[in-house]
Amino acid sequence: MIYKSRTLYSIILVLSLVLFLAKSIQYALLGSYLPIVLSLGTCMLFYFNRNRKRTLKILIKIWAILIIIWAIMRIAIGLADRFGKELMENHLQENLGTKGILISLVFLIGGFYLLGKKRRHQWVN
Amino acid sequence: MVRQLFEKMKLIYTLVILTLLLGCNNPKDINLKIENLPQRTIDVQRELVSVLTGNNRLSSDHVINSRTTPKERLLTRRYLSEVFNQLNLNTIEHHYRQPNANFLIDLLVSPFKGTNLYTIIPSTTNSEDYIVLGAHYDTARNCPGANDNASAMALLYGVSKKLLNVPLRQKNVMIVFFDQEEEELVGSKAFAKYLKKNDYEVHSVHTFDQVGWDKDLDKAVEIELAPKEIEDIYKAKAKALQIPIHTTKVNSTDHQSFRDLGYNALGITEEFANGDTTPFKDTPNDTFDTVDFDFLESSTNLVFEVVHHLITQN
Repeated sequence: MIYKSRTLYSIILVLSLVLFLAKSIQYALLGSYLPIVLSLGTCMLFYFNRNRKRTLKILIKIWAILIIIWAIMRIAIGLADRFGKELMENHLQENLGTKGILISLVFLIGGFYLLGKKRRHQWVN
Repeated sequence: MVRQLFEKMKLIYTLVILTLLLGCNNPKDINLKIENLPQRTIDVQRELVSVLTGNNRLSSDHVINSRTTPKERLLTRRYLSEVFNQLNLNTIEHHYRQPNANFLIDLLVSPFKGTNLYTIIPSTTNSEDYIVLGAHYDTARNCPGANDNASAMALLYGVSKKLLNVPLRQKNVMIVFFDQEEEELVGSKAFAKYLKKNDYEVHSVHTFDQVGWDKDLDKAVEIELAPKEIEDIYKAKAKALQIPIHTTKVNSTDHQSFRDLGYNALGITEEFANGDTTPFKDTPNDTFDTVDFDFLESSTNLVFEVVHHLITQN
């Protein structure tokens, strides 16, 4: 059981990093480099601290919190646009419509899963 | 019991993720067949504005109420392609992706994704020079966009039809419909880059935005930030047609994208700066019945005369 949950934890953590990296590569190809700088920086932080258990726990915690903030911001903007005044351009509305909100919810749940102290400590140790 | 529930939730969660990952982003392609377009140019222009604004149905299955969502924009492109095919002009789609204007937004959402549509009226000599005529085809959300900018699309149709009857054309004319003008001119910026990247020799770029309102019935147009030599041609042709013409410095539409990359570019519009302009811009009231087709016809004639002059002079 512990093995299974550790595997799931690894998948979610790696997937969150890989998806961020994939999106940042897409932006880099279009000439916008901030996302790739941030994503490579994050991946390097994880890589260089992979054997430092205490630092790794803190890193995962910060990463999980960032994912949660990202998801909440997207959901809040999407819902405000839908139920309040039309705030956004078409492009943002396309991104933060029903499908966008579902994606954000998946990340929100993933973020909370990574944040769980017991699971995080179990995985690192 | 709790474990079973947890397992079920995990299954649902996995299914949701799979659906999102596998979900198709692109709306299904649409095949249209248009038959029996009217003979007279102004009647086709009227029909074009009517269909593009939902006043007439596009087909039994489809109606374009606004040109905002990917599906509505796809329908618009399919319709424009069909209309131009009727003139024996093949259209080409230019797909692009562009980053957001603010890099912080890049962290939140995907890049812009859109499609410009263009066709080329070839020169009858072996010219490498192009005159680019463009108008955006998207609208603000929930707006029929009759004046902004179905009127300009109709103008381009009329000019194209007339140009095809010119026996000697010494320059190519590229007719472009830009996507996502309403979103920081994304489509025209991408198209300007595309022209640059492919080394097109562009003589000048003329973009049209809102050419369907003329409450004072004076037929006047405004040209925006025109290079001197092109401004002079517009003024001469307008004088011959007894059309009042005003010059302004408005840069808030597609021609700016081309000027930014060093092209000779200008905008043509109704009296936007002078105040004789639609009060319904970007609202659900920008409907078919507000378009002044006499004005559209007069502006079509003016633009044709200018482009005719440009393609028949060396």
